[in-house]
Amino acid sequence: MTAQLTCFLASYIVAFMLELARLWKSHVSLRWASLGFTAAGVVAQIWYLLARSQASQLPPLLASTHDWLLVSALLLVSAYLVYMIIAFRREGFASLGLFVLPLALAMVGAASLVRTSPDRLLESARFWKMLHASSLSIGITGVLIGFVLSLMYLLQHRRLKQKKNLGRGFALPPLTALARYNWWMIVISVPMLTLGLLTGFMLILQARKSEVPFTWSDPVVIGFSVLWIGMVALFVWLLYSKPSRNRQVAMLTAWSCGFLVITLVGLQVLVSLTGIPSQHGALPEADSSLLTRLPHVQQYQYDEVKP
Amino acid sequence: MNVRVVYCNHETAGLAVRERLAFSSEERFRSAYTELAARFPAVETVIVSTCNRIEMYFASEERGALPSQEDIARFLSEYHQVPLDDFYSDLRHETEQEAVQHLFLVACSLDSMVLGEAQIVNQIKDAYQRAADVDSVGPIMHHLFQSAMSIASKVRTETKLSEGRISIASVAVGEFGKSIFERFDDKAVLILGAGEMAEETLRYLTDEGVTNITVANRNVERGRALADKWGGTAVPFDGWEELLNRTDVIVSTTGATEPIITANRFAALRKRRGFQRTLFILDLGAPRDFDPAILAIDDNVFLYDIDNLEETCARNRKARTREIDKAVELVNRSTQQFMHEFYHRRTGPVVQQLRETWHTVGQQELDRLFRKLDHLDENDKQQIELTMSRIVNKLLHPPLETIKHQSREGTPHTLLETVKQLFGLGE
Repeated sequence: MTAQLTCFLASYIVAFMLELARLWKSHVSLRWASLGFTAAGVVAQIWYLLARSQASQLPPLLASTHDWLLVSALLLVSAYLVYMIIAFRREGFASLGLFVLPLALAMVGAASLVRTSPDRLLESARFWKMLHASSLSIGITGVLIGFVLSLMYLLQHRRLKQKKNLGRGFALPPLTALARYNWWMIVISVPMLTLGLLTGFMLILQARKSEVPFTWSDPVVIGFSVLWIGMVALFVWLLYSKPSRNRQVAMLTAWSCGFLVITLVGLQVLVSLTGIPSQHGALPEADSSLLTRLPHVQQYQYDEVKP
Repeated sequence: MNVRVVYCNHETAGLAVRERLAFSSEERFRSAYTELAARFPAVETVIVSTCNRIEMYFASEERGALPSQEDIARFLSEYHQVPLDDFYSDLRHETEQEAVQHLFLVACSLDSMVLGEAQIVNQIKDAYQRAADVDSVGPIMHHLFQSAMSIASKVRTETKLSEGRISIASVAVGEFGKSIFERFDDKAVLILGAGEMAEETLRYLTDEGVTNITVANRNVERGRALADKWGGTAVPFDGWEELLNRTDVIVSTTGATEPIITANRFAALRKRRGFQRTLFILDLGAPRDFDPAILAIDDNVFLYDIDNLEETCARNRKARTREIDKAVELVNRSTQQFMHEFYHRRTGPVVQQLRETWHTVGQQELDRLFRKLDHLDENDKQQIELTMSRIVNKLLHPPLETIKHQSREGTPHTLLETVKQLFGLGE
């Protein structure tokens, strides 16, 4: 039996619905049920990625853009799940799922739109590609968490300034905690994104010596490089700005992180759908015998990629 | 069941009366229990004494052993040296099921001045524990008070009666302060004025771990008294502005007729250090001590006045009120169940004795029969035993049903005595 993308997608949707239901009835059983469905989704997602990894004989991070996005989504949901279990009694974070689960769903949704066939250039630069993919994956997860924390900060700040109460069943953490966690997320994720970018450049240089057509004009590379400059600017500003500018930090983080994620994922989806040449999502001249062995490809992509 | 409660509370008696009838120290409680045991032996007693109520619960296995309302009033009068006429009309009393229901309502905070407050169940627990320590409780009180605490817990979890804060100070600290700061033990608190509200807020803040307290009051002596009480420092009122940039929380209750600081002056002070730390201001003065325009000066100032907080209190109170019917329904059901279980327990020994006696007689007769009819095989014996058991159960059914039916209304003492006599059941 093979886990399908719809298994964990459905689990996350149910978990999100349960989180919404908690706005009306904040019973502890609903909270456990939501965490249970999230955990079931995580298990199914790991199973799915392992099955694809076995079929392609590649680690999930390197298998394809599809797998890379799913690993990033998995990291996000796993971090959320672990935190919710550890901090189960911290009421302030009780509504975290309302912010994290839609992002995870968007990531999984985006993964279903991008290339599912294995990447090239694997044998010659496997270590560097692994480092490139994993550092970007961790960096993007940090950026996603930073985005969630910034949104929560801005909501909490707005309600406190306007002297409003939180709606029934809805909870937000204290401002100082959100600001602190947000700061750490940016400080951790920007160096990871930098490492991902540098190893990416190195891979391009290596590719120029080989027959693989891998260029600097790859739209994903250009888009990400521009956004990375923005993230580094935010990073430097964070390190040297006065600690009292929490709201500006949250505002900038929300914009830059949101823009980075949307652009990066959007570019990958775009190149996959339009066929613009790119190492990060364009349809390859794929080996159909390998594709048919991959669970998701069998269901969704095989007809499209068959030569 | 013989249970009686005599009580006065915030609805029946004024504070002046309640103060005179209160049991204010452990010593007073102990001597009261000793006196009650001497006056009413074989009676289980629990005294609940809080600032809002004085309640005395009595229970006994023996009929007629319970003290009357007059007996209890006389005890209170003599013990506290208060003339009977000064409080007798303020006393209320309930017996049996109504007494049980009253305790349950009190424990669930449905009879409290602040609906849904959590303290009362702890006060009931303490009262029960204190009575148990002096051997003043027996099986009835054990069952009654343990049930009361269990029902209080059930009401708290199954209704929203205790949800949401409903006092100005608790809303200020709990709903707004804790949404700004993750922790309070490293925060500097400045108290402007030394009013009651400031003190109440300080109680909540110290509960959250605040230790760095500075009190600035125009009356220096009052300010020092408040600072000493909470382990803080008193400073002259005129110097409070200098502390602004070193303070995280300001609680202001000065009673000044004009704001004590303008928005422009506040902005200038905030800019002085460049670094604008997060500042949580509770303006509990009426008229207000802080110009409302201060809120817009920078992102890190959070200013709340009485009206902002009262709005939240009112909404939370309303939400609790909506839960009353549900909670009362739970209490009523629990009371019925308690009474039923209790009566069932009282009739249980007689029922069991009756069953055992009849089945023993049946078995004895069967043994004698089997000795005479030695040709019966095991299967025949089993069939005969089954028939005998069915006959005994059918004969027992009418009296047992009658006992069960009667026990729904209370312990059927007369019926139980009659059954004992009719069927020769011993004690």
